[in-house]
Amino acid sequence: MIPEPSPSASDAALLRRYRQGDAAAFGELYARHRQGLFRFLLGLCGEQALAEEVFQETWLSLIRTDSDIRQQVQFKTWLYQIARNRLIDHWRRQGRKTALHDSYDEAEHGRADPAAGPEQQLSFSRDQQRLAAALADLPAEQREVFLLRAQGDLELHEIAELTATAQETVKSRLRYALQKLRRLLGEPATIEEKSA
Amino acid sequence: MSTRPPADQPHLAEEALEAQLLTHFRQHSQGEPSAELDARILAAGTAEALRAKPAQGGWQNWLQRLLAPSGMAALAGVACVGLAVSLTWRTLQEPAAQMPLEVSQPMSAPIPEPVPAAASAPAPVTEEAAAFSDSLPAADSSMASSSTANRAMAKREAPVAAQRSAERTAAAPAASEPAKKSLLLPADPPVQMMAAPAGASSEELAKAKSSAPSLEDSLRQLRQLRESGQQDAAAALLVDLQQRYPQRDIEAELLRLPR
Repeated sequence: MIPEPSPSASDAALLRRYRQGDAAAFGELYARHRQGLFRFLLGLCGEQALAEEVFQETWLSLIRTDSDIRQQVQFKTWLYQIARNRLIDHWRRQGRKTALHDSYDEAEHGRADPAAGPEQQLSFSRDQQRLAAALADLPAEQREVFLLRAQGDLELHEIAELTATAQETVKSRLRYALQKLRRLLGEPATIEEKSA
Repeated sequence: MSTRPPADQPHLAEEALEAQLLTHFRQHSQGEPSAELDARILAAGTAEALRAKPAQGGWQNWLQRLLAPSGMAALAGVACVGLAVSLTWRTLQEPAAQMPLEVSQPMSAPIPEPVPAAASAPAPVTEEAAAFSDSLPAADSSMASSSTANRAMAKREAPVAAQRSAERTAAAPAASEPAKKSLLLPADPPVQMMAAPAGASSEELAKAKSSAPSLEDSLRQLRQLRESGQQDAAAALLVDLQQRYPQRDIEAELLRLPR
């Protein structure tokens, strides 16, 4: 049974308690981050089995390591970084080339979408398949930044630290990702709205 | 889900749109780890916590017990026992160091008469010294093996020592206890004997000792040199004898040497 997450204690305090033998603290940490971390992995790789494998490795890595987190690093950043590195390691073992470390032209993927201006009335499809498809349509770097922001609820500077990327680059990737998602998800609604 | 962002503030509108999209995405995202995976991870985490708990609690409890009043009393008790054992050990070691002297007495030649403390410095190498060297604790096998050579040398010098002892007895009949004690010790062993290498065998030592002229022979040689007018050679021999027997008055020994 997964315990209900409670906002009373910080992640660092919970981890400290867990290192001192408090199993309940681990349960609370797990409840806080299980869903966001799993969806981040699933959004990145698109495979339930692989997401579960990396998810488990990530938590076991946390369990088995004795080191505490440095004060400067948030627990969540650390956790997502472990998960990301594990997934990249898995892709490398499989011989799959990941775009997460490849350089690419930001501008190529960041063409302004004239249909996605601030004035546009947004209406998003609730179709899960369309959400997944829209996400899969994003370049890997933009998808990663968007998932870290949406599922991990990380701030831009945390994403920049996690991905070892400049904060401005992270900001632009997120902006392009949002523009594209708005276009991909909003168009039918806009059409529906216009037609109505 | 259709809100219209303010057109006059594009920056705020952009943020509002971002927030809307993120919220929408969070609300409608799917994907959960399986219940089995949850259970596996939680079990692993709990097991690790239980494993860490006794290990850490163990030494913490031990420390707490130690710092408690009863623990301090136990610690003080252990310290007292250690101190007592140390003192006992030291007390046992001191008689053990003196015991060979006492044991060696019946085995040695008769103890000479006590002499005054002032005259006890140039003690001769006698049978007592040989016996003493025999009775030393056998810390080193070479020391034990050298006892034969020591005894041989002591026998060579025994007549001189007996004569000197008789003279001293006549001069000073009363003797104090420290003086008695000093007689038990090999007060003036030859320098060569003391400087013998630890690894030398008894044969080598005996050979070395027999090849070196005795004090009496050396004194006779010194006298002959002086009488024959070889003052330089006599002086060199005197210096050599003084180095070999630093606690003896060579000139006095020379005067006492019978012709």
